[in-house]
Amino acid sequence: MIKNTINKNIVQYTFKSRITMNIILKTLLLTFMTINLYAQTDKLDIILKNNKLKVCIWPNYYGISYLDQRTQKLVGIDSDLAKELANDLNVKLEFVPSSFATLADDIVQNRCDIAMFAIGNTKKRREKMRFTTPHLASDIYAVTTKTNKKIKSWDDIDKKGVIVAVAKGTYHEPVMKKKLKNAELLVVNSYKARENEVLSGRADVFMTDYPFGKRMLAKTNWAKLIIPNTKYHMTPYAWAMAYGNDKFYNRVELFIKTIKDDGRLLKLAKKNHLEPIVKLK
Amino acid sequence: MKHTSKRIGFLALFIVILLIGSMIYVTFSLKKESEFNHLDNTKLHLNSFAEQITQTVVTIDKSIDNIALVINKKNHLETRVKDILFTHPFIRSINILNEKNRVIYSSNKKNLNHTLSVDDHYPKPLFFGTVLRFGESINARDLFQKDDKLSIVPISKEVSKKDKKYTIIIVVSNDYFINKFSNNLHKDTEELQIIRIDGKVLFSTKYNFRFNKDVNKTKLYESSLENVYSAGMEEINGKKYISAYSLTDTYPLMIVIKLDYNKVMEKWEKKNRLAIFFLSIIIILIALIILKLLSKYTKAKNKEIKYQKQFLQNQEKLRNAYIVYNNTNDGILITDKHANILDINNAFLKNTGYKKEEILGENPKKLQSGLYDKTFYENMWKAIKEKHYWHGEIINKNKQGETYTELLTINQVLDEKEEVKNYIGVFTNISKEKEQELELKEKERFIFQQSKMASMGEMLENIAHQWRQPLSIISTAATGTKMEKELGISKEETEIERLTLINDSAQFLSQTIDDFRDFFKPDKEKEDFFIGEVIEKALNIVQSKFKNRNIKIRLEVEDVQIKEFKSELVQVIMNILNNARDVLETKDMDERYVCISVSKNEKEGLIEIKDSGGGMTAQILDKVFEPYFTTKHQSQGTGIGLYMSEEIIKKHMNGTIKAANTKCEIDGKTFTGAVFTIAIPLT
Repeated sequence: MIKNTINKNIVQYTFKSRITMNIILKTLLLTFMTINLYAQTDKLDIILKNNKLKVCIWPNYYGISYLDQRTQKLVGIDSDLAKELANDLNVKLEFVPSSFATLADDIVQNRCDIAMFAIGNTKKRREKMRFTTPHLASDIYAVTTKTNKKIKSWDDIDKKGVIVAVAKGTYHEPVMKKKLKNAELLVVNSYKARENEVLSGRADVFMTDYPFGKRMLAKTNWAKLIIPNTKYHMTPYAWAMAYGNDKFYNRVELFIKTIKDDGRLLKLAKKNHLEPIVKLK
Repeated sequence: MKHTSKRIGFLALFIVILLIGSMIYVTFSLKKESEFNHLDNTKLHLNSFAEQITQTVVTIDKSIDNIALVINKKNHLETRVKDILFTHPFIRSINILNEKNRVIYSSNKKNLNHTLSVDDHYPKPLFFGTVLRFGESINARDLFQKDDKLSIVPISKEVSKKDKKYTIIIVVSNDYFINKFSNNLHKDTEELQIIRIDGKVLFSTKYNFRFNKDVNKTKLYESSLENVYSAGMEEINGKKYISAYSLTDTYPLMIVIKLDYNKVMEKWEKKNRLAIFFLSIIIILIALIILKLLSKYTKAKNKEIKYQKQFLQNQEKLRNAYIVYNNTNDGILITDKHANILDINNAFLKNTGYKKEEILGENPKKLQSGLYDKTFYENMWKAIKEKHYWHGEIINKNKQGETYTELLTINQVLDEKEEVKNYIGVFTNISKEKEQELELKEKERFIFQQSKMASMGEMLENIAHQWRQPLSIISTAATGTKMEKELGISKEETEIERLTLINDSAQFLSQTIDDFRDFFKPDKEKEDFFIGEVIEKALNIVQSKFKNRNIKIRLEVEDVQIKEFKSELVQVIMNILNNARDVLETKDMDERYVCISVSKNEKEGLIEIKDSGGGMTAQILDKVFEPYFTTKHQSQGTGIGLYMSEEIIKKHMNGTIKAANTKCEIDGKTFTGAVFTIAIPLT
């Protein structure tokens, strides 16, 4: 946040001043000093100094970073990898609850050092945050009820009279807005809401990804997963952090390379039943 | 047959095995079915309980939220708490703790101002304080009133109001739930447990259950932690259970129902045992019936086979009998009870010369020769009636009027009532045998004659020998007397003496003639005599030849009287003596002996004639009584002497004659020789 403020200052000074060289020089001096100060204090250094890595997670993301209400423990590949990262950095780990809706803000506001909950690398998001190399990639899946008579296959989705629910803030929202020609799109506020829309019959199907879809099958007795016939819209999943902080970014990239090489990624993908969507290269 | 029995046996065995297999399968299936039923019931029970419990916990959760809303409004709080307590009797007390964990409000005044930590409540929230947390079971009436007989579970949640944090604890009565759930559970067999998923058993409907003990982490338990729900059979501490586990939706509680497998299945096992008992009896009965049927079948089959065999045998016999009947040389005739001829065989026709149609229906009288008187036939019929058969020789007449001799057997055939049904006559034509018999007799007579002629020659020689000396005496005496008379030197004394000598000699000659005449005179009748006399007569006849050849006779004679043909026995003795003489004559030895002994036992008179001629070889011994067998030169022997002797002893006197080798001791010397032993029955 401080850094951003300084950047803005730089822009202001660059375009507004030409008044006096003195002022410019002083400002430049000040700016350099500041940049130097911050260049020296990269996020990685702060993390190591504070001995704490703050990781944003969305506690409702099945298979990725799911908070089991019963045990109050996080279960999922990214929460597991967050532990691995903290371990590799040899610092303590703090999970910060976040969501797709608040993600950008949480990152910009520096509420966490990195967001690790399988964030779809989309253009819109890239404007606000810096994505790491993806470690997962998921197509779009649909979930309907076993009793729904309209939806039997993927082709039944984009038909007139079909109502498709998506959660606000997910990448499914813009994708489906663009793709659906005949069906009606219903954008709801939460993940729980989109399930309720389908269960109550207000919508026929909701769009989700592989981890969530699998979880729905495993944990409910009503869900039916509709799988696309061909690749529909593959989205790479990665982690996100604020721009700058190259040292920290590179360290995370190194971590990603390491876990892909040493088998930790595959092992944890298997543990969380996400092997089919893991990206090992 | 054997194969059929085997096949049926295998089939029966297969059926029994099938029945037993089916019984085992059915029993097994029923047992599985029963287990599944119990499992299904348990699952249903579990679902119902899990829903009730979740509902109760949700109620507690909502109640806490409700209380949180009015936490700063004392009047409202009081009313709300009272209302909650009234509506939910399972709540023992409601307590509010401040940040310092001091009880600042409680529906139970006794709890006020006590300090209480909820650190051990589960789970510890990761992010927010708004998680419902469960403490361990406590033996108490309330938070600060210990009581061994009661138990409670404190449930807590952190709430915030106007930047202040509070902890609300609702104390739940275990006993309430035990009462409630127990009504819907089988007391002896079913147990309901509520487990805090960190492994503590908070609650059980089991009497005397020790709370907070660690759960048995069975496979089903672990599986339900992973998959929310699991059910099946499991063994805990050696005891078998039918168990169902279910996690509540969002609370750290697991609901478990366990059925004591053995107790639950006990009733089923009892029924099953009874069923198996009856089924076993049925199977045994079926097996017995099959065996019985099999045995009956086998018996019937065997009987049939036996009958068939017998039938075939009878047929065979009949066939054989028919073959015999038609091909035998014996004539057979079958009559009815009135002696009318019903059937005759080929031999009958051949022997009698009649044709079948000429003889059927006729009476066998037609064959009578007329040689027998009425009495003969009466005796025959008498024998048939009394002994049911007659057997004998009879001369009949054939169609041509020629007589023939037949050996006839007439059998009476009786029916079940012992009444005459048939007569069967079987005869053998023995005319040829009869002729042969006559021929043989003729031949024997000839041989006998031959033997006599041979003996005659022998006799003449003997006579010549015996007469030589007396004739010489007579001649000498006569010529001596004549010469003395011519010379005139005769003396009366000498003459008388010589005449006496002549007379004695003539007497001797006369005696000799008597002896020879007696021998040649055929015996007409048996007469009583001592065997010794016969020996003496025989010796008299042969003695001259014995003396010539220096053969010494040793006699040892007892008085044994018999009644036999005397001269025939003399002939036998002479034959044996002459044979002995002939043998001894050939031997170059100083002393030649013939030992004759006469003795008797209880039944027989015994004559033993031994010689010292060295004995006979085994070959000779075997053939010694055969006709025309001789060891002598053809000019000397005829070979019929001993044959005739045996014929005489055996056939005329019913005695025995045996030849053997023996040793005899004479004057301290041992000689080897032949011995002939004659045994003649005593009269």
